[in-house]
Amino acid sequence: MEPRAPRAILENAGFWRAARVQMGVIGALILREIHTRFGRRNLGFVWLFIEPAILAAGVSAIRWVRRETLPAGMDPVGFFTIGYTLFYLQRSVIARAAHTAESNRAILAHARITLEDILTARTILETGAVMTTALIFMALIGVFQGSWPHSLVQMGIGFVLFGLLSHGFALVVLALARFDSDVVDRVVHPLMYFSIVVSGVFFMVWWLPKPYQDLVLLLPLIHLFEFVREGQFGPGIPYTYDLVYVGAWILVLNVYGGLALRRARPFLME
Amino acid sequence: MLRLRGVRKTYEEGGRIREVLRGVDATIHLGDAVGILGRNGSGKSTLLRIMSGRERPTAGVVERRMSVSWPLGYDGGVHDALTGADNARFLARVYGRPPGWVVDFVTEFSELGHEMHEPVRTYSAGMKARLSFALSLAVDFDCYLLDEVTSAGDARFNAKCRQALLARRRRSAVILVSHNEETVRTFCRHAAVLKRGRLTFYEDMDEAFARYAEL
Repeated sequence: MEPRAPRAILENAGFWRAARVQMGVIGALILREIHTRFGRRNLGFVWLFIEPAILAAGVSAIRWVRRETLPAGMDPVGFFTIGYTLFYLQRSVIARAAHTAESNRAILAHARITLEDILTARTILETGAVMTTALIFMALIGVFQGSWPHSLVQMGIGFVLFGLLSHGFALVVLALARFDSDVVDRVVHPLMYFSIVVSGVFFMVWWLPKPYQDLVLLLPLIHLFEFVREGQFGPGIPYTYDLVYVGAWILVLNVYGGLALRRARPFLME
Repeated sequence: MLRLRGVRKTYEEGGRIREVLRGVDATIHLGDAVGILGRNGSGKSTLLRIMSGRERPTAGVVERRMSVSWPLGYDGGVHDALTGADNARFLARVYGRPPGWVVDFVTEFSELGHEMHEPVRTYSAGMKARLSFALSLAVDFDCYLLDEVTSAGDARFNAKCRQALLARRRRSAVILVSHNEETVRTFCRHAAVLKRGRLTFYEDMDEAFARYAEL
């Protein structure tokens, strides 16, 4: 048990000044992330579209060849592209969490920049980027297939909740990385790929037999897939979700993850 | 003013506890220029990181009543994948300075020229030190933490750094850690020796060097 670390007294602490500094730091980190991840010259942004598009095209092609359609006449392209962009958001926020301290060692030399700031900037940027991607896909689907989303607001809320949920997971993953970030990273990656099977990318809850429905509904992300799809396809299809359950997960993960990360900080910053 | 009271720092390595700092007391005022002498592994860099606020002490209090720079040295807090100019814009935003002005100042002071638009990972150690020193001057801190900074640049740039620090002598403090007597003599007016996790200040610089030589 290490002794309790006292908090350093910061220059001119004061709520509004602190808030302004915080906003400045997060804004700077978001711009930095845009530069490093999407590049100024290369086509980093295009990958955000290519991955979901390839998956949707592949799965839709298989279904078309086998003359299969989705139940309730849902459009397979819209179903899989939007489903996959949600998965993409979760993956880019959580899978890169474990190595946050190592890969940002140089800029963490600045006392104003904290691990929490880096994760927050990443969550905001990824959520925004994925929402933009989804919007463009829906516009294309609307133009070429004539099916427009039922409620963009509901979909937007779903994406934001999904970002918050992923943020909570990212906090916990980074806190765990204090023990061994490589091991955590190697465990998280297969789990992410496994989660594509049990998340709602490929199915709706009501397609499953009843006992399996209860099982997958334990996973909070399933609820958000259903919620976003209700916004996309509108009434007439059974959707299964419980936002209170999701809210509880978001709250518990973020509070617990935040506290755990505070305790892990001295080990991660060495 | 920057004040450390009873600062301790311990690290845990494979179940073993290593005490790096065992109760450091120090008070630095604007206008001070202090050299901290210590052998390799004596905890000089740890002390600077605690002063900067990047690391928190295991016990003790750090009272920071002035803005303190990040430790300037070989790995000067710049992002390798970004260009020098993007780093300047990034840190300008982090520290709330006008980005355009910071880029101009840094380009001018660091003399990096068109290299400002190349990624920092292509820089030599000297170029990196020049970039990071120019950045810290642009932010304009009250207290500068220098970690062997002078050994990275060339002689002419070192003289320029010294000039820049001298010019703001009355409104800035400088804390330099080094194991090089020459460096400390050119930058500082007081010296302290870090030994077995404790810091001892000497009014007379010669006495500090004598103690340091005994180590």
